[in-house]
Amino acid sequence: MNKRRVAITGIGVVSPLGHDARSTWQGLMAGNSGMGAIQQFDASGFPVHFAAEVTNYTPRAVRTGKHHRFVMPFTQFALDAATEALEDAGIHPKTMTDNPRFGLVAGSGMMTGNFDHLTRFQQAAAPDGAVDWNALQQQGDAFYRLNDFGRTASNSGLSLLIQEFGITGYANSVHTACASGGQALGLAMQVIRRGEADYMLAGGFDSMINPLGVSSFCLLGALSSYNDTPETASRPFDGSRNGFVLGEGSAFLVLESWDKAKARGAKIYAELAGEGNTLSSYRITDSHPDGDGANQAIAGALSDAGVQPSDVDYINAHGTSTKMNDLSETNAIKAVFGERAYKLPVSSTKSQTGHLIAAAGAIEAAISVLAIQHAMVPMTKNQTTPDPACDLDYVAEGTREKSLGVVLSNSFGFGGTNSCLVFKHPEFERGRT
Amino acid sequence: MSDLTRVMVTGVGAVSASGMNIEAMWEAMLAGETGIDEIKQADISSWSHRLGGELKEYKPAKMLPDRKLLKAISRQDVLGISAAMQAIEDSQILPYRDGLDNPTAFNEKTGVFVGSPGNKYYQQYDFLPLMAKTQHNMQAFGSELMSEVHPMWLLRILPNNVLAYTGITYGFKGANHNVVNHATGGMQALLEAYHAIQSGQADRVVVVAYDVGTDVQASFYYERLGLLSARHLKPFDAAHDGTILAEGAAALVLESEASAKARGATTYAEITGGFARTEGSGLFSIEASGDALTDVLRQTLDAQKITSDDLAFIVAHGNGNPKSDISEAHAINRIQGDTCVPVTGFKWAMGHTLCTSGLMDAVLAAKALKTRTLPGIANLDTPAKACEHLNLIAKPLALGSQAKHALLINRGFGSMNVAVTMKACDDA
Repeated sequence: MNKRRVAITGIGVVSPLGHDARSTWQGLMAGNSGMGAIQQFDASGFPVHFAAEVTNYTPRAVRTGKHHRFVMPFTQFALDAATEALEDAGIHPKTMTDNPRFGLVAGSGMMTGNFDHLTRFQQAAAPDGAVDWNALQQQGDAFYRLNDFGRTASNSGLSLLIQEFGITGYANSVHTACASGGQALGLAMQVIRRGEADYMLAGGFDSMINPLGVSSFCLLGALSSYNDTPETASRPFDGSRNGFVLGEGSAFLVLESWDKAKARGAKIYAELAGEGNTLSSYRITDSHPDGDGANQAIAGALSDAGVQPSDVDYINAHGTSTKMNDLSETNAIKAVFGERAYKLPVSSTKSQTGHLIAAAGAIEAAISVLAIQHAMVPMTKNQTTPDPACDLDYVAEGTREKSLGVVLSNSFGFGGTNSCLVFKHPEFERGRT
Repeated sequence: MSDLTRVMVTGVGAVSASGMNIEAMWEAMLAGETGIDEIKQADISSWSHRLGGELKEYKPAKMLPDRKLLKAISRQDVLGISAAMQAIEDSQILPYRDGLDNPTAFNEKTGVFVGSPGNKYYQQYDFLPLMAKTQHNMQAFGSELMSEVHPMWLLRILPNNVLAYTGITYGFKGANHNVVNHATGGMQALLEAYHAIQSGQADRVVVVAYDVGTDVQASFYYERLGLLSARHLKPFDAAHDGTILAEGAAALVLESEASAKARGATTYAEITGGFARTEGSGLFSIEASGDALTDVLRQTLDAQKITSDDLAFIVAHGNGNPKSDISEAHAINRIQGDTCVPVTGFKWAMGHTLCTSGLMDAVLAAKALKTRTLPGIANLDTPAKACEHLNLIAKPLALGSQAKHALLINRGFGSMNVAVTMKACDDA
């Protein structure tokens, strides 16, 4: 089947490394770390009290409109990243004559962000810890704030983006934990391929750096406990890795049909050429030690993009810095690439950005595309102790200059969803190096 | 679109206030019985709006045989997994798979597409005792966390639990999505599953949607927003004055025509297309004119080169909210020719199951196309003025052998409108 080609023409990022795509990329190349003690709330009593936060943040523009009363910090990141992506692409749904052909897919985070809201609920309805619904109703007028509901609706973020940018076409919001961002981009690509839209704004946003979010991962023991050395705590593929570092932020890409992008003379960063979308169906949190599930997603993405394993020049790994993910991912790469796996640069930028959860796949897609543009391979920081089971080329020594034709980006989520995306240099042709 | 892969419905399942399976629900609906009643899960005796659509027999151990699993999930997941199990059982794909030489290839081409409610307020209440105890001292909250809250809390509330456990339970490993978009999530999951089969990403997909719309704190907000009725859910009726929230789950097994034929599957109906779009307005907005909905309906019919004259019936969103009902009536009126298409809706029976609601309608429409009987809006008395030109049916309608196409309408927050078309199978 002849697939409609999909171009990437705009990038926007808000991350712990920078408040736009350019500064994020520069921070990445400079080897910066986004980690530090949590500033958003007093986390000093928590077992883990550091994270990769977006700090000193001022929103990109003063925004108007009634919908802004429903903005939360992490949906602010989404609005700003999406604005940057559209400005970068030089198109805007509101000014397009064929507006319904402009769609939107967001990879959204979980609803754990509004701790103040839960606190007020607890005071009104559960002063002793048990909920009394009649007590809530008695104080109903004082407790009720429309904004609380508008900020915590499951599609609150999607709705903000719809209104901010005047979307009247396809709109969808997906959540598969840490695979959300990758799946959002994959879905947006499919929507263009099937001809339902010509332009898509797609990406992810998240912050679980709040008392409930940090609690949830502390309870599971999933976070790195290197409280004293936050900057070196995220150590994907390293022998001393002991968990991931929670990050926050957003990234959006503008996707458009190749022909439309060419016709308007748009700058094309790269082609989003394929996706692999599978379920591991193994365990809820653990990935299969052999990489089962992930390897089918990688192979599926390559096949969907019409490339061979030998065409791939760089893998932006999921690389969370947890014991099991990094082993499983290494084995999945070996299963697909065979001997070539050892010659292929594989790096995890989570060593610098932290884990952006629902936005991880989106920011790593942005980074993959920027890597193609700059012909630079990002590094995996904090590699000090070899892990004999993780023995690939993780680009530990620092960033590397390399012309990149095909880049693979992996995202694997709690629940077993695997999302792999293949990006091609705009001038990549099979059989030409 | 005739050159594309056809997508068949080969299994259905559901749980709701109307019944714990599709047969029970069907019988109740044809008999005109509603499952809406006073809420029993919570003491809201002092509230003015106390009606809801709760499951009549919530017995998790009976609904899911795996007891260990029950400890790892929350109520909404029990509903979703239960509906998925019913649909999978109904489709008989497992005996077929297990007889294959290569079940792995089958599993890798079997997807799971889910409409998920996301997170609910009730899931956060495990933290309330800790908050009460530590009295907003965040340092104390942090240091006592590990001894006060269940270590698996996050896993119990994952918004993709139904997706994950449907995969884990049956070993399905194909393409998947977890759509979280308020009340249109289920229907959008159905559309994406349809496209995944058409594009060859999957040969068959289990589509599930679930929601606990009766979440009490959410109900508080719906009531304050003026969206709820204190007395009834009467779609398109002169007495319509709001909706009634409900819990429930629905599931379908979709297969490519080739996959269904290969195993001689019984088919309920064919999914023929549809679109999901936003009106571009506010989170809680509905366009009074129904113009944007009209566009989606027209786009859906046009894509298949059919007109309203080809429609055997329309399953309306019909949530009983006057603004929603009337704008929907405007849109239906506008796509109709001289013949008025029979219009029904199902929420009067089990309440508004939010994320589930669209997929619930799809399950019931598939059943109607198969059995050639369409349940009506049993509590319809006098149509509202703006809805009186609709051919609203109150009593079950016998569908003639010429009846082919059905149009389904689903709407939600985010000013989302979804239209889906289904078609009767020739052998039905």
